[in-house]
Amino acid sequence: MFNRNGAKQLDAGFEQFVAQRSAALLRTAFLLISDRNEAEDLLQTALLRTALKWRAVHGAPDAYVRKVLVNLARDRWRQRQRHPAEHLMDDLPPALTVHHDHADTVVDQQLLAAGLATLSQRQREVLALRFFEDLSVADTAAIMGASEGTVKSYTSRALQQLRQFLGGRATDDPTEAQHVH
Amino acid sequence: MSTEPTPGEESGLVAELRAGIPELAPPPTLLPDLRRRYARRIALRRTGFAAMPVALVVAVGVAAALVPHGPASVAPQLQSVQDAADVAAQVSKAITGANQDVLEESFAMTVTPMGSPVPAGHHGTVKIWLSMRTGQLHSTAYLDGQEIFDSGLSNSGQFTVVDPPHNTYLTFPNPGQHPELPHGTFTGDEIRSAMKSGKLAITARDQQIDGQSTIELTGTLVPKDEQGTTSPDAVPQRFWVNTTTYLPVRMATQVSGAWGNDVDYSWLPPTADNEALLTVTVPAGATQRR
Repeated sequence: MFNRNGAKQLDAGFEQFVAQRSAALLRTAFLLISDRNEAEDLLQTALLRTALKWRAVHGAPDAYVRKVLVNLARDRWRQRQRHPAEHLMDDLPPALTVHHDHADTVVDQQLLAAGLATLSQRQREVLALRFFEDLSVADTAAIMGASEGTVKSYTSRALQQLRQFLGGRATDDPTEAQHVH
Repeated sequence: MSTEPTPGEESGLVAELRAGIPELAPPPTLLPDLRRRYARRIALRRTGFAAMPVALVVAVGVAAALVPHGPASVAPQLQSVQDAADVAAQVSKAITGANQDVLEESFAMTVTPMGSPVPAGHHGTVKIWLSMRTGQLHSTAYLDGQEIFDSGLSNSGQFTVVDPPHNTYLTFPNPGQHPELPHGTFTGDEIRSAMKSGKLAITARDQQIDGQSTIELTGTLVPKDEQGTTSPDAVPQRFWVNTTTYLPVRMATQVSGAWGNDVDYSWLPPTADNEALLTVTVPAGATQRR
C-alpha cells in the first residue's frame, strides 16, 4: 500500500566491490559447491542480495556475501541430497580442469577435488572460510552459525580426513601415484 | 599412532590446498547481469510483484518505474509531537477500520511491464486493486489510457496474465497465496509508532488533493524486507491523509533529493462492483498462449 522506492542503478561503491572481490568470492563459492557453473550462479545471487542491502552492509560487505554464499551452498547441497544421481558425476574433477593444462597440476587438482568431495558441507565451509578467506575462528563461527569449538573441531576433522584421503590415494592407487610424481 | 595432523603437516596441507584450487575469473557478464537484475528487482518491488514466484515474474515480465515530480522542499517546519501523535492514532484506527475495503492505488510508470521505456510524449500508469480483507491483488498497466497488461486471479481461480494489445492471455496455477503487499508496506501500527517516536511529523495542514482536505506527514519510515528484517534503504516519505477519514490519499517519496513517485490511494467500500475490481477478466475472443 505504501510503496517505498530506491535507486534503480547499482551503487558505485558496490560495483567497485564486485570488481575487487568477485574473483576471490567465486573461488570461495567454488570450494563450497564444487561446480564452476553453480559457483558462478551462487555468486551472482549473493551479490544481488548484497546490492539490495548495500546501504546496510557496505561497511563490511564481505561478511554479508560470505554468509549468503554459505546459506545458498547449503540449500544446493540439500537439493543434491534429494536428487543425488543428477550430481553424482558432476561433483568432482571436471570443474577443476579449467584454465590448467599442466598434466601434473591437473592430476593434483583432481585428487584434491576428490578429497574435498569426501568432506561434509560444514567441513568444506571451514576450509573455505578459514584457509581461503583467511577468517579467524570467531568470524568463521559467526558466518556458519556455530560455536568456535565446533569450528575448530570441523577444521581438525576436515584436514585430517583430507590428509588421509590424499595420502591413501597416492599410495593405494599406483596408477594415480605415477601421475602425481 | 595418532591420526591428528601436526602443525607442520597442517600448514603443508593448507598450502597444498591453496595451491591446488585454481584461480577462477568471474564471467565478464557478471556485472552487466547484476545491473540488469538489480534494476529489475527494484522495479518489481515498486509494483508489488517481488513476492511472486520467480518463474511467474519471468513469465510476466512486469516492470514499472515511477516518475519524480519536482525538487525537494526545504526542511519542513515540524509541528508539535502531540498533534502528530493524535493524527497517528487516528490514521492507525482508520486503516484498521478499512479492513474490508478495496484499496485502489495508481501511479505513473516510465517502463512498461514488458521492460521497454514509455515513449516520449506518451503517458503510462499502473493501477493496483488490493483487498484489505483477503490480500487479493490485481494489477493493470495502461499506456495513454489503453490497457497494455493485466494480471491477477481470474474467475477461473487461475493466476492470469492478459496481453491486451495482442488479445492473448496466459494462465498459471493458483499460487495458493496472494502476492504480498507492495514491498515497503507500512501498517497503521508502524505509522503510529514512527510518529510517536518523532520519525514522522505533521508538516502541513489543509492541503487540497483531488478535492479532499488533507494533513501532510513527512518522515523516514523503515520498512521490513522480505525476510522481515529492517530494510537498509529506507528513504524519506510523505503522506497526505484525509482530514475527515484519516485514511491516506497520497504518498510521495524523496529520491536523489527530489520528491516524487506519487502513489494515489482510493479506499473503496466492499460492494460487489468494487470486489469485482480484484479479478482479472479475460477479454472475449482472446487466445490462450501456451
